[in-house]
Amino acid sequence: MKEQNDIDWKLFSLLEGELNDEEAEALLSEIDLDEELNEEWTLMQQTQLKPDRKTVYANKSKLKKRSTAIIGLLPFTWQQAVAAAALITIAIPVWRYLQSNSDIDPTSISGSIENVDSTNPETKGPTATETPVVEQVEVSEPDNEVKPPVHPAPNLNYTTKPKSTITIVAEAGQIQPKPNQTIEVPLMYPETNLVDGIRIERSGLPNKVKSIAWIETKFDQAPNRSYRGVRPLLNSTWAGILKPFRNSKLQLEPVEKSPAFKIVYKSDKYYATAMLSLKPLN
Amino acid sequence: MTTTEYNECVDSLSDGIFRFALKNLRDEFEAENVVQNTFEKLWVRREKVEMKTAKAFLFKVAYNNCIDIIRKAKRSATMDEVVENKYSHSEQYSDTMEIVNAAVERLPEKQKSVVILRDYEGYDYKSIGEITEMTEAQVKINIFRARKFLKAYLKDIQLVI
Repeated sequence: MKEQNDIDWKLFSLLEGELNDEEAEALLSEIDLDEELNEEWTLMQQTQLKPDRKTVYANKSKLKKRSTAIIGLLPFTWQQAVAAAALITIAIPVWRYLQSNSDIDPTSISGSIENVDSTNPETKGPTATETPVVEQVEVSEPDNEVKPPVHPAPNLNYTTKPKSTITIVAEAGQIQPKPNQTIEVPLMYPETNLVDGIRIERSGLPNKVKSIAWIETKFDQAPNRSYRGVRPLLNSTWAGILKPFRNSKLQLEPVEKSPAFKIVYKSDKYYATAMLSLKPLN
Repeated sequence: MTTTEYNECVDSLSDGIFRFALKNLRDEFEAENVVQNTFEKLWVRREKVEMKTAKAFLFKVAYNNCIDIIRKAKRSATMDEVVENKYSHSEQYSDTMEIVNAAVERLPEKQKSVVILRDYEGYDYKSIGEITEMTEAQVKINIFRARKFLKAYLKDIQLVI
C-alpha cells in the first residue's frame, strides 16, 4: 500500500514537473524498463483534464458594459461631437443657475409617474443646494380612478456617486415587486446621464446585502432624449423573491417635460415603475 | 480598471469561468448565474481591481460562489444519494476522457476545484492557493489525492471493461 503511494507520488511529481532534469530522466528510464510502471504512468497522465473549448459562455454581450459618453456620441461625426460637448459645457452651468433662481423647483416630482405635479409643496423634493446623500422615497396615491391602484412603495434609502453605480438600499422584505408599484424620488439632474448603472439591493440580513437587480443605462439615442436597453441581472440567491422579475424587462424611460427618468419593470404579472433621484455632481 | 478593460475580461475570461463553474456544479443554469454574479462583482469593484489581477479575482469569486451553491445543494441531498453517487460504476463509457470526466464528478469539492484550476487554467499551486484560500502544500496534496483517485478510478473501470 505504502509502496503504491510512493509510486503514485513519484509519478505525480513527474507529471507536475516537480522533478529536476536528472530525476525526471532517471524515472522515465525506469518507466521504459518496467511494464507495470509504464501502465501506471499512462494512467497518471490520463488524469490530466482537458477543457472542452467548445463549451463557451453564450451571453457575453449581456455582461459587457458600454461607456455612456462614447455611446452618446456614436451616432455623430466628430465635429458634431465637439459641438455637442461645447453645448453641454455651456448648458449645464446655465441650467444650474436657472434652477437655483427658480421660485418653483421644476425638478420636484410628486404624484404618480403618469401624473407629475411639481407645484405641490407637500411633495416637493429637496432643492439642488441640499445635495442629499441619503434620502427617503416619497409615494403618493393616484388620483385617477381609471388608473390601476398604486401600492405603497417601500421606503428606500439611496446613495449616489457621480459617474458610477447608484445604490438603492431597502429594508428586508420591502422590495418585493407589486403590480403597478410606483416608487418616486424627487430631484433629478441632467448629470445623471453620466451614470452607467443602477443597483437595487436587499439588505436586512446580518452582514449581508444582496443585489437583486442591476440596471444598466444605455444611451442608444442622443442624451436627454431616450434611455433604453436596460437589462436586469438577478442574483439567483433571491430567485424566490424575485421570481416575478424573471424574464422581465427593465426599461429606463424619460419622463415628459421633466428632467427625471423612471425605471419600469415589466413582466407578465407585474409592472412597477421607479423614479430615481441622484445626488448632483460636485 | 476601465470599461474597455472590463469588456476585455468578459471576452477573454467568461468562457473559462463558465467552464470552471459548469464542471464544478454540473448545472448550466447555475453556472450561468455564477458567471453573471462574478462579473457583476468585478464591475462593482472595478476601481479597486487591476487588469493584471482580474483573472485571479474572477476565479476566486466564482470558486466561492460555486462552493456556496454546492454546500446548499448538499444540505438537501440525502445520504443514500451521496453514497451511490460516489461509488456507482454503472455508466457506459465510450472513451477515456468520458471516464475521467465521470470520475471528476466524484471528487470532493476542494479536490475537484483545484484540479480544474490546475488543468483547465494552468495555475500554479500558489495562485490556486490564493483563489481557494489554501496553502501551497494543501493545494499540492489535494491535487495529488485527486489524481490518485482519478487514476484508481480509471484502473478499476478498465478492469471492468
